[in-house]
Amino acid sequence: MQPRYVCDDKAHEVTPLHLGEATTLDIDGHLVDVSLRWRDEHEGELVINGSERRFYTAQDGNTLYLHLAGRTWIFQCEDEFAGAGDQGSSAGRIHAPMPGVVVELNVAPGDCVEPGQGLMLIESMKLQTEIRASIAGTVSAIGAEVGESFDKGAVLVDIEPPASTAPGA
Amino acid sequence: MAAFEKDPVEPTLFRKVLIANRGEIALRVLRALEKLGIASVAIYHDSDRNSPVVRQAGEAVEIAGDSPSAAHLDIGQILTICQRLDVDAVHPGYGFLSENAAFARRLQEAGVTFIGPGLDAIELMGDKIRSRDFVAGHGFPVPPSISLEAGEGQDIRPLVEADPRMSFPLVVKASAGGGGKGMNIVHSFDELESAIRVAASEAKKYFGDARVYLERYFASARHIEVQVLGDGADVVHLGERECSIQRRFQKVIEEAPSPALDEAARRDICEAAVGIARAAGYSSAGTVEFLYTPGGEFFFLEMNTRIQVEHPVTEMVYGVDLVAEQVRIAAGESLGIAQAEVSASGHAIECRICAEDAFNDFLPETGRVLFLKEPAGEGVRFDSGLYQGQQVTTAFDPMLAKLVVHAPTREAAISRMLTALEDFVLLGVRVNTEYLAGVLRHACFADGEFDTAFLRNFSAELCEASPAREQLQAALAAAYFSDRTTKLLQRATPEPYGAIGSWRN
Repeated sequence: MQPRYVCDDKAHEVTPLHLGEATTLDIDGHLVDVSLRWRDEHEGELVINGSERRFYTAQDGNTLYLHLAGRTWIFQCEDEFAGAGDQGSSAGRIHAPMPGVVVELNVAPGDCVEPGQGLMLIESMKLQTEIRASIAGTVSAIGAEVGESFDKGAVLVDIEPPASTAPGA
Repeated sequence: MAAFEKDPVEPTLFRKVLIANRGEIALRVLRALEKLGIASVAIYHDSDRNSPVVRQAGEAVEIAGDSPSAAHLDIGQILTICQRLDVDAVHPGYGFLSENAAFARRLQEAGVTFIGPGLDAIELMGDKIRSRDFVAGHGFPVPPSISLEAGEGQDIRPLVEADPRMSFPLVVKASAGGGGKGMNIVHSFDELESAIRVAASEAKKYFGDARVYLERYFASARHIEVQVLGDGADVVHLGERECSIQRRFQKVIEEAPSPALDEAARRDICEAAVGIARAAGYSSAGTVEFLYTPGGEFFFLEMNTRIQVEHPVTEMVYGVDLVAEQVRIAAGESLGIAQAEVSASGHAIECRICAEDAFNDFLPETGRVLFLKEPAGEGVRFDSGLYQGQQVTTAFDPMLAKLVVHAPTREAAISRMLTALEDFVLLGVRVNTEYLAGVLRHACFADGEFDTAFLRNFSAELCEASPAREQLQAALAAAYFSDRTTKLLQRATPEPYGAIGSWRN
């Protein structure tokens, strides 16, 4: 097994090499001696290269949260069989920068838009943000209507570039 | 300090007080009611049913609405609960109905006391255009501004061009606004129309009043506010709070006293605040907000007629319970303290813990609180409504809690805050603690040299520090052992291969 932990779009590989009183882990190609003691389900003490560190942890699905020395880490856990999970995103596809709700919609499918044109007004935690067109083209889909809520990363508006430009892969 | 401490046994101020709020401030109000020996009623939307205030208040009643916010803004439901449960006063906290004159009037008509100032003061100060005229009329300084007529299609350009004091940048504000809602800075005529549209839309939505006004924006000024307490006859001030560390007009770090003021400047600004509150016949706790320019000039911005989010820094420096004072004054007690008896000690700092990705344009974050360890210790106060299992959604404001510290000096307070931030553990929702620590460590913050543009001007320096390799390795090793998959494999692996340290559970 070769677990992989993704943090800030960077994948790190951790391979256990020797399990014993102290464990040797291969972390991104470097060998590290580690031992660990759990204080309870969420709190542990890690001795790594001779120095001891307290940490706190909690996991939700494949998302692992870790607090260590004042810093909070959020890792996505993947195993070697998991694919990269990347979805090809075309230049005209606008994803929600945060979860929220649509308060104003200024375009409809079929409309021609210019780069920078205001497409919709969204709101999240009392903050309104204008969603603008990333490229010139024709609106091919609207991901959420006025009053509808959406998650972070959801497609809000899809813009088809003009026919003369080859669509992105 | 001692001047504020009254006899522990007091005549009953109110029979029962309803807390018309949620989250940390609802719990804060409950603490004051407990201290004063007053029965309490919490109201809650279904999404908050497991929150601490619901469990701890004497009684708790569910309120319904299309959204959690709509429920908390539903005056009719709250009035019905007051009558049904024989409530004789309501504490509104901040936000929601705290500065809603219609709410205060409906309560008054129903014979229920609104814990806050009188209707006249709420109405006057709630209308930013009227309040500015009122303050200017009493001889106190206000910034240059233009009021815009309600409705579409007004040509603003000639109005701005006609006033030599109205040079860009300008700021669009909602007349019924406050707390940074419905505000937008504009640098040119090109941006002005869209900014007014957005501000008017937000204003209409949050305040039901689309009127906006344009004000000269001082790119390099501080936001300094003065805490006042009035009983309708007399007004005292409890010093100032420095609130210049802001993002999107929302305060992030506040402190008392302000490192910018010397004794003479402090006296001038505090006396102006007392003068304004006195002119308004103010009764309750209130805050007069000022812009303070690098040249030492100050201008009235607005007066907030509620308890403010950042009230704890004043409480820690002055040894006063502002919420308890609000309750006493609302019950008809007089201040019982003269300005000369008020004394300050030490320095306090507050950090607002927000569910946001502070290193990525402060975008809101959501999630579930999986693990929580609150900071504690000498001079550390944590005002929070957080609880394990809590779902943090976009339905409410991103502020989850307030971490406040007090120490003899500003330097010691900064250091105490850094330790407390490091001790605070919240897993499951991304919060801004590391960003806050970065601000506190910044040399300009340490020197007290900053203005409201600080976070924007230094955004390049206030980015996420990339971890040292050793730190990353420690985190990855801990992640590996914490990972559920590893734990399952360990359990399935027979001894001795599975023996790792003193593995438990």
